[in-house]
Amino acid sequence: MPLAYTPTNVPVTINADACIADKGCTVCVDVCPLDVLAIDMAKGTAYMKYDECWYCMPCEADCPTNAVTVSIPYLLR
Amino acid sequence: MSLMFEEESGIDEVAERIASDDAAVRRIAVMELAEVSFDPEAELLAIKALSDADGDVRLEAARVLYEFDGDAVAQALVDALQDSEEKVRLAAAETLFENKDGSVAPILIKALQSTTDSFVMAALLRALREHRVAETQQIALQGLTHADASVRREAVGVLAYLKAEEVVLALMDAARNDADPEVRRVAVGSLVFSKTDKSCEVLQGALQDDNWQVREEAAFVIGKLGRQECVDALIAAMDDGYWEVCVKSARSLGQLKSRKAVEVLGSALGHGMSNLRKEAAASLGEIGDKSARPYLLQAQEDVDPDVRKLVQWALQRIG
Amino acid sequence: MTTDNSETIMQVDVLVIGGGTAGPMAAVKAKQANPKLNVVLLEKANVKRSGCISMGMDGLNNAVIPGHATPEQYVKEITVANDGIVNQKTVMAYAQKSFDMINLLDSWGVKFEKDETGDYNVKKVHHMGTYVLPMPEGHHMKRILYRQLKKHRVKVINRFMVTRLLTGKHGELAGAVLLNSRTAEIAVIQAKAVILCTGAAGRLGLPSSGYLFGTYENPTNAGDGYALAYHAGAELSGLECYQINPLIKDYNGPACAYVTGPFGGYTANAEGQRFIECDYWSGQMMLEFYRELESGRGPVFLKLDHLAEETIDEIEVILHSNERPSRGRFHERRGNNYRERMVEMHISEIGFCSGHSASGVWVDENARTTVPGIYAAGDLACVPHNYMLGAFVYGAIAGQDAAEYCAGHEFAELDMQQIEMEKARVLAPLQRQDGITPYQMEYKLRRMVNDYLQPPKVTKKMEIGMERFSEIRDDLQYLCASDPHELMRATEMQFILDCAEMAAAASLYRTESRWGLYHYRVDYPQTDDANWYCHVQTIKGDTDQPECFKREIAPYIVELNDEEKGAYSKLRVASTSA
Repeated sequence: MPLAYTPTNVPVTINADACIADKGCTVCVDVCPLDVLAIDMAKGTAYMKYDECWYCMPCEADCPTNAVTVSIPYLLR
Repeated sequence: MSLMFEEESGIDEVAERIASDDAAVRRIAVMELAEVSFDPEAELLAIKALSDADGDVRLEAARVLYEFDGDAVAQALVDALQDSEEKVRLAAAETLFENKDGSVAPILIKALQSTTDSFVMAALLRALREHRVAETQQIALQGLTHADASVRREAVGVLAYLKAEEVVLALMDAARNDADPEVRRVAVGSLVFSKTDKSCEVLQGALQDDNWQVREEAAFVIGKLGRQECVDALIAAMDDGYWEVCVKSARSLGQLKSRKAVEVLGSALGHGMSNLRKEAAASLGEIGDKSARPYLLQAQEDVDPDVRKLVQWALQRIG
Repeated sequence: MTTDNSETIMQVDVLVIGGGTAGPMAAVKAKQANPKLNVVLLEKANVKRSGCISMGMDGLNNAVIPGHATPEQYVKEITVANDGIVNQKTVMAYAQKSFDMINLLDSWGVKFEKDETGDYNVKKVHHMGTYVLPMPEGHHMKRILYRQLKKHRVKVINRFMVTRLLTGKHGELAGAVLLNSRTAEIAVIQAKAVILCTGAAGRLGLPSSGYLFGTYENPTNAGDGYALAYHAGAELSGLECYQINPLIKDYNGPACAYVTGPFGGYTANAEGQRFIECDYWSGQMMLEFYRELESGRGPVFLKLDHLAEETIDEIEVILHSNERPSRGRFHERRGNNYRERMVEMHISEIGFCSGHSASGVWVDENARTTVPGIYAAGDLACVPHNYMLGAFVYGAIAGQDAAEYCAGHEFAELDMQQIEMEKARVLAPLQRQDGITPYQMEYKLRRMVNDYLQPPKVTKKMEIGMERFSEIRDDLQYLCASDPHELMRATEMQFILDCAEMAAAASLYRTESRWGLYHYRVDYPQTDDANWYCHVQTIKGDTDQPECFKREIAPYIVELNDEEKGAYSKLRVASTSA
């Protein structure tokens, strides 16, 4: 039973210029109740790794540099 | 090693990062002080960070001090109310307000006595409100005549929380004469604690205030105080252009059980706004006078189920 | 990943599972009761922002405050709202402790609405006795709880979920098996007492958007505690009394009409008129909502467009900064403006949640389940209509009682074979190279829940649903996870399957209609007090299938007079008049 991957547009986006993950910040990753955010070590920024969003907003509200934007997932808009 | 036994970042490690040359690294480290707030070292580091060269680091320090108690913390936050950056000043004010530890009140009062800055004064008065210490009364009374409306608003707040009869005259004056509608509204609202019948005239006057929210507050307070002398003014307020004011007036007329109000409440059963019809029906029930029956009978088929239910309830009460 | 148990076994006195609302309170109260106890708060996410109040809460809707309502009045109201099927002692325990809890939270810094002199500003909503206490600045809730956890030196472990509770020789609690959602590490905790605070089963039905995580409840609340209690042998109760909520259509989150009520907002039909007859947030209200939705006067809306600008400003601040702040963003995109038009509403997918209805793990007035050493509090504990304040109250009760329990009990011996079997079960999906992903399996399962379990309930449909669930259970041998995160989802998916089977079993068992829409059976439309004035309990049977039985309702401690019973029977007549 082989697997295929289907691309999907994710609701949480990160402004790479503002993100300070490269300085050791993991706030958005820490506060996500669904654990869908991660740090891209190569780029030094956070990103949405899994499309499992409750659009609950702590990642955006707690980000110290306002780098995170939560949109309503496309299926719900 | 199992993750489960991994220790949270220790205070030494955080302290090392707080000494970094990179402001972003310092900022993140300051935020992490929340996790080690039980360590006395953490408090010192947080206070020190309030004088960091970088505004963002100071901002996080003002926020993280929420996790700590005590005089040193309060004094540091008071000082931060005069930070060069507004975001730091606002965060310090918020943290002082959130702090529930009444033992720091003397520090706040002392600071209040030695400042002329209106932002600092408003922030300190707001922080002192919930502590309810008698020593604040005098200074709050002075604040009532301050040029800045935000200081006056917080001064009214302090006095209202103290519920001291001897300041009622000053609150009545603010309710009647303050130039700022929000100050007048809060002052009118503050009168609910006072037993004095002198407030009657002020409340009646407030029912004719230019601002509808002041009028609404006055209608509410009259009912809560059970001021029979204000019935005529409430009946007149049933003609207010804002139905929100009429709703509160109707509610209060019910609480006052005023038979004189049956006619005006009966007419309100035909008002376009169902919120008002609801309140009028409930109040007619509370008044319990038979003369309300014809109005209520006519309203039995109201389109709004809530109105219908209250009409039935009122008819049963009247009997 | 270690396979040597000796490295990963940790011993704690009280293990609190779930760091949302009830959990932090339980941990703090256990620690206060006995500061020497080793208390651990375990959280699948991070306690800073976990649970259904991660962004705070905008008000209490069941505040029992002296001068406004009495505990007796409250118990009567909940008895009526839940069609008589209540263990009044549990509701009374809440009601009597509710005011002290409000004062405790107030002293911690939770902001309740106060009048200008600092007294609580209670708003009257119903005429029988429920009261709303708004929290316009309720968004600091989690921060306040976190501060208390730190102050009381509660040990917090984040990002671990419990997959099974372990039991001892006599069926008592012995410990728990844990899975780390980032490393797939398995750990074992030996505990004297466990307090389940895992919230609702909110990922049972599929939202109409089809987006798996766009649920009414926080989707981390997959029903973990329901399944954990079930497999540990505890009784569950009222699972046929589903939770269904009114919501903003598509956004699928609460409209909070009750918050807008004191300001003059209300739920209206397309003609802008109120239509809800029922005074209580209940299945009866949801049935009226459902009927209007399906009628020619439908759909249903939140109406605020008649309010003054200043009032709407105030409502917006409350609704768009608390509980579900992305509401504002949703409205913006849709061009919804409370000032100009009504906002379309709908009803939610089904779930279990005793906090809002009555489907939960059976507890007594001390928060004890039927298994010694296992406690439950919050949305999953069967104390009807408990809401957030009830979660705090029962968290406190459980914490205190568990601390006392520890004093009188030794650790139960762990059964190594139980642990090995559980490790193998949990890790199996990670060892498969390919197969069916947890997302596919969950989607299909929850779509079947919608098709076959959603009210109006039909016997044959529920039986077909059982068959489909059993086929999905057979497919578990193909369930595969490509990383630890997916393994967490795979484990949750199995909890959801347990819940779906329990929901079907309990619904089929009660052959009558009750609780309005929550248990509206088309082929048994009447309420049948002669046979069904009782609780329906569910336990894990000998064949590993859910088994149901009746439990008598304990004699009422607060009798209802004729007028109040009248209100009760009026509800019943209305609920079966379809």
